[in-house]
Amino acid sequence: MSIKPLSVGLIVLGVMAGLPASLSFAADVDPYADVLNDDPASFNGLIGAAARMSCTRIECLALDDLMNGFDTLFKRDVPNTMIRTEPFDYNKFVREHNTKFRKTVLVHRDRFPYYCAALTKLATHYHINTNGTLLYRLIEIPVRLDGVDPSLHCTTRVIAAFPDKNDAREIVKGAHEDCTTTHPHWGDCKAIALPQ
Amino acid sequence: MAETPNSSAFNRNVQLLAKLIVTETDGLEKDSPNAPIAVGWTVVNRMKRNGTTHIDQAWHGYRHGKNATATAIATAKGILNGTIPDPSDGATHFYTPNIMPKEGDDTDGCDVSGGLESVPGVVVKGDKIVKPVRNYRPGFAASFTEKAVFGVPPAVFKLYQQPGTGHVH
Repeated sequence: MSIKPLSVGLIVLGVMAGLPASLSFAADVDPYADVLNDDPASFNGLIGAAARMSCTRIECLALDDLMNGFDTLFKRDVPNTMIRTEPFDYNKFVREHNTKFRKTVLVHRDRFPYYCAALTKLATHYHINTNGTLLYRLIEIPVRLDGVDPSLHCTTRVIAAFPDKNDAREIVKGAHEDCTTTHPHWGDCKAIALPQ
Repeated sequence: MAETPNSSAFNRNVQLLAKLIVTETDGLEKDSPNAPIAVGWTVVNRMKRNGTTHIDQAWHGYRHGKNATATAIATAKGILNGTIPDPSDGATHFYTPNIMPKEGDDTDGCDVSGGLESVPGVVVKGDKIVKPVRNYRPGFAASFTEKAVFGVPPAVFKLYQQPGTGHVH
């Protein structure tokens, strides 16, 4: 990938994602850009991108938060009960992971636009083979961001970014059901709705 | 199963199994439909071996606190009425290598008596790179028979069958 088109792409991405021009991603080559612009959404790909970046810029810090957040939510939702030695306090286990998610992701309001930009691009890159570990939480996280900052409207943007394919529609439908049935406290589950 | 489909006992089993599936595999059905099916079948395989027709007499070792979704209810119904076949070929146990303690991690609260293993897709973020890392495995993984399930990545779930046909703990 050459530097110039990438720089333009990053700025366009930042502006399209609703970031002020001054907050658009820096114009140098880094794996963050490769992931957001070229690669299909991949959990390990994004972890790799975060690992390879110089984490002094806000977009890197945000991506690092986000990847840790995905990991925390995955661990929360797959409790691996059979390997727990007694006593395993499941409710405490879930609370601890939700608290960790709040403290590592939801507290950084200045990073919300960057989280949302990355989430939106991941939805844009949705493919039927996209890693579901990533995909499922790709809808939970914007709902929870909007729960903290309703002016963000991240859920609507992420949902709108999914390709207009039947399998993507099924995922959104399933996520809406899951949110309303199991996690209404996340935020506004109604925002998980495809444009009519 | 012995319960007549659509009887109240059958419907209760469906609801309980669906809750268990959601709690143990929340979200994975989007990626790997066989993952929640295989986990659901581990319960039914235990029921068969333990001589019970009640889910709640076989769900020791599972969590089941979340509400059932329509998708999970459909999966549970298919498992219990036999229209969804067992992709695990009799598995009774499972664990998630991605979530097991990694080499050098604190292992407190986890069964790691099966020692270390290398599983494709289990990685850690190091300095500027992502590198494979060995994870611990539970004791049953060292002695039970592994059952590969199509479409279930081993980093997400590895399934095992307790040898023999007797009672499963």
